[in-house]
Amino acid sequence: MARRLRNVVLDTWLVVAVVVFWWLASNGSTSPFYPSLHHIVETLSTEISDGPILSDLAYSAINLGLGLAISIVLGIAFGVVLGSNKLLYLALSPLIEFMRALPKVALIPLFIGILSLGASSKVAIIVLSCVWPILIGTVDGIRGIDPALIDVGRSYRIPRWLRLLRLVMPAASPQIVSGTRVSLSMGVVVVVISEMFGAEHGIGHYIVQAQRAFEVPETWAGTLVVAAFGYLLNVAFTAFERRRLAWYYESSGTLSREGRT
Amino acid sequence: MRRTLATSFEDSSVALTGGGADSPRRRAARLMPAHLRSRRGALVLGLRLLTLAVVLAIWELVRRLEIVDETVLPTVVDTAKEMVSLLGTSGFWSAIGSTASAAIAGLGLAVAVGIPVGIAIGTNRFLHRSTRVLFEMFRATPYFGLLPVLILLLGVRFELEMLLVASACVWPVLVLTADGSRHVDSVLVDTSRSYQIPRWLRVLKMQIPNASPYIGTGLRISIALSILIAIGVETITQLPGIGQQIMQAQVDAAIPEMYAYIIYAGFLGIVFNAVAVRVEMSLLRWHPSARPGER
Repeated sequence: MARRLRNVVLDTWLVVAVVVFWWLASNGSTSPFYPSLHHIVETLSTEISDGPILSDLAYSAINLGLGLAISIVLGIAFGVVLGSNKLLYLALSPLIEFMRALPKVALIPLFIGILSLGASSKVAIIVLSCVWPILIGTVDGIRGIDPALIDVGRSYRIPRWLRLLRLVMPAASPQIVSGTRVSLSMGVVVVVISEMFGAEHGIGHYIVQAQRAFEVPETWAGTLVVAAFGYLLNVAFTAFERRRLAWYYESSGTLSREGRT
Repeated sequence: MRRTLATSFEDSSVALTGGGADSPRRRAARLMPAHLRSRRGALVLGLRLLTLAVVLAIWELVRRLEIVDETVLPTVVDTAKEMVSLLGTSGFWSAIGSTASAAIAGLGLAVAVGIPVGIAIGTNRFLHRSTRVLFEMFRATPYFGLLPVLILLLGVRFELEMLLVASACVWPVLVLTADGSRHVDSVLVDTSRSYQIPRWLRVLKMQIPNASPYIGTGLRISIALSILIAIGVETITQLPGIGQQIMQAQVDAAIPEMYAYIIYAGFLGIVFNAVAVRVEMSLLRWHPSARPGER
């Protein structure tokens, strides 16, 4: 018991210290740029109870969810095709490399120009950003499968679709999941930027509106909401990953996946 | 938790480079151009040129068949012309320079902070435990959300862009450095203990070299990230750079110019990625996984 308490304290004391320090240092601040934390928290709670902040967050979250879902479907589908056809992959890889390296934020003005300010432009830009890590993860996962495994499947005459479903996909899933993790954090960034750039709703829109109106506590409050949102998504995804890939972590044993010392 | 932190970065590195059946490291060690020298390489090259031709043909066709109009998509020829003529303008080169220098300055700051702090955390258990949750939080924060707050604090200037790049790029470097200096082979640790090698020497000769492949991976992720953040900041704040040029071209309805800048942004991204892989390789040269003979 005491040991557990000690662990919790060890894990959290610095977080608590930072918050306390911020609170004390900003207390009674009169500078318009650094409102006191007390004031920010107050603003946050009133904004949550009867401000637009939660509905803006929901709008962003729905767009993000939709964009990610489309990315996962497209990424895995194309990844499977490219992963099982080496020549096709080699032929397309410069194109994929270019699309992956292209800073997607550079496309935001274009997309908003084509698809207007609404949700469709946001979803499109999320898909265009998030599909590549998943696609590349799928290709890598499939190409990394032990050939013996595939041969066994073949020699038992397991039908192609069943082989894909029961053998290839599970074996590739660690890489697919890690690709999705990259996409998730990228997606959060892209959704916020695209809303800051031009939108009618959304948490990014909320923050940038507050900033333009010099509502400094609201700006800070929105920023804290985005930070919490990103953190919670990450925690949720980690929990999901651990549950689904428990078998993988057990079998791979240590940290080193690539045989590092 | 410890594992998640490390694997998540390793994983993202795999996904970011497009590792492959073998690790990105090994693949890079095989030296990319080599496969273009063989006969099979000629076939691949041919297929790649074909892909390029098909993409350009589809682009031109979409434009010619008026599926979208010229305010959305310029013709291939117009874009190509614009790409060539941009090369002769000073605005283009100064935009590239601004974006690249902001990205590099931010990276430099991230490295200057990330590596020492990472080593400190990796060599001290107490520091590691204390900072774990806090850094997880910072890392997961969408750094772009901070932009308006930073604009309020700093105003719109170069330092703002640099700081935002740094705040995004510091985490991969920091976390992987910490991981690398912490996970030293236990045989090595025991050996150094039993020989009573002083602590500072152990850090210098064992933990830092052990961390270098991890630092390489962290750097690669950060380098790729830096250019993305820099262009993003320019798009929103109108700081000079490629992002601002894209915006400006759109406002001026100079659509071919806008596409030209977008394509150059992609090239810049590729250059940064290529440099990143090089940097990683040079930090890894001694490592068994990078030596072709020892696989």
